[in-house]
Amino acid sequence: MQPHYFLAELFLTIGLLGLLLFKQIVKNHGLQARVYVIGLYITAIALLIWTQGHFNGKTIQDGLFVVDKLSLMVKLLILGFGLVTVIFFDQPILKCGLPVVETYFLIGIQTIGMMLTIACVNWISLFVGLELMYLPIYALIGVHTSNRDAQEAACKYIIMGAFSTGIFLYGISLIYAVSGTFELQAVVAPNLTTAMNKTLWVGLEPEQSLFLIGGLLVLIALCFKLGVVPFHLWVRDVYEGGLYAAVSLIASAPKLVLVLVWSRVFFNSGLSSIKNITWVIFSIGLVSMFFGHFLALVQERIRILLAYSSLAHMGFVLLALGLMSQVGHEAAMVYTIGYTVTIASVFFMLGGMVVNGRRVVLIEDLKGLSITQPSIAFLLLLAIFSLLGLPPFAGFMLKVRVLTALIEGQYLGIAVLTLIPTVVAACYYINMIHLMYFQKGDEVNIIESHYSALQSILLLTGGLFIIGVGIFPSELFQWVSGFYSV
Amino acid sequence: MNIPILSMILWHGLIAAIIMSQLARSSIWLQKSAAVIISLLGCALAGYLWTHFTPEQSFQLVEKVPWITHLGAFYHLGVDGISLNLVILTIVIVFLCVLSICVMEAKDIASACIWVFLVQAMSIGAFLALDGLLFYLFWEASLLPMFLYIGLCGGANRWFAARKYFLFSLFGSLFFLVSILYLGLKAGDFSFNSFYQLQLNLNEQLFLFTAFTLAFAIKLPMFPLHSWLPDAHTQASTSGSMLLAAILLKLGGYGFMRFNLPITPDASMLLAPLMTVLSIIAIIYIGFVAAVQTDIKRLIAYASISHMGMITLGLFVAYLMPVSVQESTRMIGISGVLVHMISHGLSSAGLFLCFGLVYNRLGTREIKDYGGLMRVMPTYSAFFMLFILSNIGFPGTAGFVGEFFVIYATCAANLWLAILAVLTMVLSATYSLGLVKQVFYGRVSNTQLLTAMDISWSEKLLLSLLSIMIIGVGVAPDIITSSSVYAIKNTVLFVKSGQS
Repeated sequence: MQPHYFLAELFLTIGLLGLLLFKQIVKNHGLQARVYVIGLYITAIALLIWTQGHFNGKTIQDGLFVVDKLSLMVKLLILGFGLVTVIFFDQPILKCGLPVVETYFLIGIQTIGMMLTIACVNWISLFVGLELMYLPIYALIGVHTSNRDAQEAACKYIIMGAFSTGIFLYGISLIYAVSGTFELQAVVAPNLTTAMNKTLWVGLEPEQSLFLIGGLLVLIALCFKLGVVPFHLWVRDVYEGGLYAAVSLIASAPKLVLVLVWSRVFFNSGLSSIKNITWVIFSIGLVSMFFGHFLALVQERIRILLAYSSLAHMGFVLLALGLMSQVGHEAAMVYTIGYTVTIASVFFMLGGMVVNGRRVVLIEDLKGLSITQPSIAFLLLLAIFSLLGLPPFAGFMLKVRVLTALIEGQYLGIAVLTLIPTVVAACYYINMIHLMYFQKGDEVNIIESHYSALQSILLLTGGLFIIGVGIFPSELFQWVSGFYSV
Repeated sequence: MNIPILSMILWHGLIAAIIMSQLARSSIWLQKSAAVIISLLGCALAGYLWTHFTPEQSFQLVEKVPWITHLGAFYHLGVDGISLNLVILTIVIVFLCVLSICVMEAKDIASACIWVFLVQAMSIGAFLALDGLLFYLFWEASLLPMFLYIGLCGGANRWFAARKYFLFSLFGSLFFLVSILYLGLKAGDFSFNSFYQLQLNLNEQLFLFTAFTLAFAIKLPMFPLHSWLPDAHTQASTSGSMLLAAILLKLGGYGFMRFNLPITPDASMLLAPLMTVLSIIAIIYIGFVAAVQTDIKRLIAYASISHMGMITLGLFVAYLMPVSVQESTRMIGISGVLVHMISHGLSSAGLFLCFGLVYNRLGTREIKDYGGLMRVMPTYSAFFMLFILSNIGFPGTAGFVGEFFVIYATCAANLWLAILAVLTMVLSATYSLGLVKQVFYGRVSNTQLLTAMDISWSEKLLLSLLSIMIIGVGVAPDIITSSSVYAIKNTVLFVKSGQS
């Protein structure tokens, strides 16, 4: 494989190594480091666009990594998210006294990890990529060393993460034992025709059951990373403990990567031939939707609420992924892109607010936001309506995209079932609106917002995205499906 | 020259809302004049639409632009006799709402007008859309401005009412979304015409009918899904109640005419008895419930629900008619539904407006706090009486025509049903005249009433506009029926296709 397809990654890696020297060379390196990292990201984006321009559209594969239109597109999104995250890390670095160079370094490494994971077509490279992507997050959650909650969250997250990694590796080894190859596409399920027709997977040959167990373990590990029921227990603590900006690193971009990885692992590979796997995925998705929305309903803390709602949204994405068809994967990708932008802007908005001298913890803290911060309240209102999936906002069109895929795949009943938890979701989402907007007079919290000009522009762009996609979704749909078409 | 009049009339509300949001900090005088001028502009657009409409055609002035090519959805607008009348009703009611806000409110005029104009844009969008997904977009989006309007400008218990309204409507419309997507995938695109040409089997039709009915019955609202309406009305501000009663409820009836009857004819035929029974229950039971209310706004709200029973009755009783019944009789029934929607829009808006005027002066909704208002506010009482008469269905007012048409059609189907339906007149006379007696006649028991001033010139102007329209429709219902003959005929054909 020609290295120039990975120019952006290589450049970013070298640039980040340079960042480590920064501390030694430059005194008072705060501002310089920030400018340096932003410059790195912008150059990397430029390089990636250059690569895209020189890519002829034919998939190139070398056993470890792949270069195709889709991966280049997602890489671009990931770099964009990385850049935005860096910009929104200003406040936590200033306020909580985070180590500047180390924080930026970790964010950068996570970006590189995500970009590698996107390009993986091999179990080994996939494992390395996922680890590279998650290790910095563990550290970033705990980087706020003076906060006990953050320490606790990081500790829990790393232990749970290690478990899931173990499960993932064990699954890989079982699959390898049966199929004798590490390449994702080369995995062939043994004796498909005879054994897989047996109901309840009873009475299988040893190698068939090994393959099944391996496949299920991989499924479990990926579900764990996505944070869906019943592998969701870390989500709540991590969302609650970390800084807003750090949590957004889990809540937004990695979901895109995971959806893509899911497509690579389960679409058109031996694993997709496991009987009833669609229903396994569907049940995980549906249970997540119900569980997430119902639990979010009773929360008083805003980040736990967002944690459970992310559970539900990921459950919805799983339904699309469970279709095992190109339409489904496309719909999942489109939904995740929209969800990522929306939830990232929610996290960044909340992260920049200060209520009575502390950060936003309770939903009650948002009381009277429309009076003290009308423009932020309006953007948050758009984001909430979008998360709820109401027209004319992005969430609605994305929901329509997934529902169409489900109905097209003859799963009308599932489509109907997904709508019931939405009504539950409405209860807590509009409760936030109630607190933000329907307060009068003296029952208002003093909320300050600290956004730099650049951050305000980014938040505004997020709002425009929500309305724009809500009214003209065609462009986004076309764009994404252009990358899926061969 | 081809002016995209439908788009103009649709986007008028949205642009108006944006303009009003920019005027929120300017002087009251500027806010008032801008709001009135903008809504007058809307009336001018509606007038232009009225004059350029040809009654002999089905959907006309069509605009079709690709929207979501991926799904086959179009920005597809068109108007026929049914939607024309509802669009004009919307524009007129919004104009009256804006006037009433200007007359009654002393501050925050712009912010109230934002929501009024947004409701206008969304409901006109729903009335004009000829594309299923576009219809759903506006239908669902109409929820948001009303929810925010109740929540921001409502009474003390506004959060409860707004939430109830939101959750009920959301629940109803979700299944509607799935059924629209199902139809769209089945037909290949989302246009109403392709929906109408689909051949669906009975099971599919039953599923779709249930989903549609859930959405429209909640919006209308139909018994037993009506309980959100009294709360929403009591907590909404005067103009909010006017919008809700006059426009948003009509979306439900419109939905029944556009979706249930044409798309699921067999299921409609099968379930027509059930729908008829529910309508009769709404008419009679809710009529009794209205009679025992102690809160004036709740009483008017229940009266609305009872009247909405006439709409579903008029639509579904058409299926119960023997096949031999003449087409003209059937047409009278369906056009009765349309006239009733318009007349109810006018008279309920009038009642809420009238009540708003007196609520502004006295600040109480309880019937027992009033009494002898006739002595204090004679002109006001006369107007109120007119709206009450229209609500009862008194000959010469708008209310009479619609109810008469519907009952006439019911007679053709089943005499006993007609006798039950006629009870609506008795019942509404009971509660309406009871209200009049307690509020306007007798001695002035509440001394606070003595300080109330009779209505001012601006208020008189506002009420006279409404009264003229109510009497106009009552005397010359032809205005509505003649423009909608063709559309009504089409609807009758859909009903007949269900019967055969």
